[in-house]
Amino acid sequence: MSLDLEQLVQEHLPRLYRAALLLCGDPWEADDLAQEVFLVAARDPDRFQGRSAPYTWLYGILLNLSRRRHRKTRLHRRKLQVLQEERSQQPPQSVSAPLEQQEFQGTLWALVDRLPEAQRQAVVLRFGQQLKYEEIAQIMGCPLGTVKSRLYHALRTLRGWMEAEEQEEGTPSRPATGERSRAV
Amino acid sequence: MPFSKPERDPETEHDPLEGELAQLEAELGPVLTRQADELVEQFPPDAERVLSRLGLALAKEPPVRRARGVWLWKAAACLAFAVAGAAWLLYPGQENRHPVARWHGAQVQQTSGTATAPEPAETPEPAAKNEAAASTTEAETAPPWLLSSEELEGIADLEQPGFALGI
Repeated sequence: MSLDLEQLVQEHLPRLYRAALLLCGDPWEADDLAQEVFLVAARDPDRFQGRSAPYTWLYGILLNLSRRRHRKTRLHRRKLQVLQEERSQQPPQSVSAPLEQQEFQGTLWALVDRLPEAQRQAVVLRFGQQLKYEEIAQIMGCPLGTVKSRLYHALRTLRGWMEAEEQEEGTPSRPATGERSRAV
Repeated sequence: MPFSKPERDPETEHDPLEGELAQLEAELGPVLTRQADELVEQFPPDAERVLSRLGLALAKEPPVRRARGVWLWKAAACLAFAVAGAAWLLYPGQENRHPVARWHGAQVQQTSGTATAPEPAETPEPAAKNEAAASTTEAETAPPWLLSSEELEGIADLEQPGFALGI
């Protein structure tokens, strides 16, 4: 099945970029990730059978790439931390994150980033993309009940973390709107 | 008491877990969505840049379909080479080419010869006769690079202790 790459990019880039940004938390990385999705699609267009909507297929590619990238980044960070500790024999100093990442850190999405991979992806598709449970199940390749269960556990964990943070900060009132303080 | 899943409410046919999920979604969902909107507003995507970078990347790397074709040709060439090599080594008509082929040819000729000739009945024979028969069959069927028993004995003599010293 032939795909018009330019049309595909124009139609689906905003949604895919949004999902990529929420998945990796860095606009530059999100840019790369979104581009890689289209690159994979353009290199092997025969994989799209036309049984589902193109965006379902593209989201599937995005989730796979994001999973791989997340694993690599985590490994890279661990290596850097070990190197830093070995060199200085001191606890690693907190390096000030770039402005874009600081923006991300100030949101609830920074907590979502700490969730297990499958739960994180479900939250991004549900609240970042406003997809229905059925669509999420199709994209993630799992039953509907699994999607609900992942979302349930993810949201419960998020709420627990928020409450713990509030207790640490000593603010008794839970934010009714769920607004997380921007100065983290 | 073992863990049991909370039962559905028969009146509403509603899973209590779903009710809690809906409540959590109502609590956290709007915040997550609004913050996602804010993030994307701050860092919007650039379709033109993505398209130009995609064009460059695709120009460097050909599509998979072409690459698949190359692999197919390579695989076919390897297969043809392997078949030709096997034929060169084992084809009985080309006996003067390679020792393996010569030996194989001898084997083929022998089997074709024995297939037509009637096989003698197996009867117990004296040891001397057996040895003579073994040496003749060895000479007939042995491959040309295989050393004869006399040559092997000569080598064994060389390995006797004291030979190297000239004693």
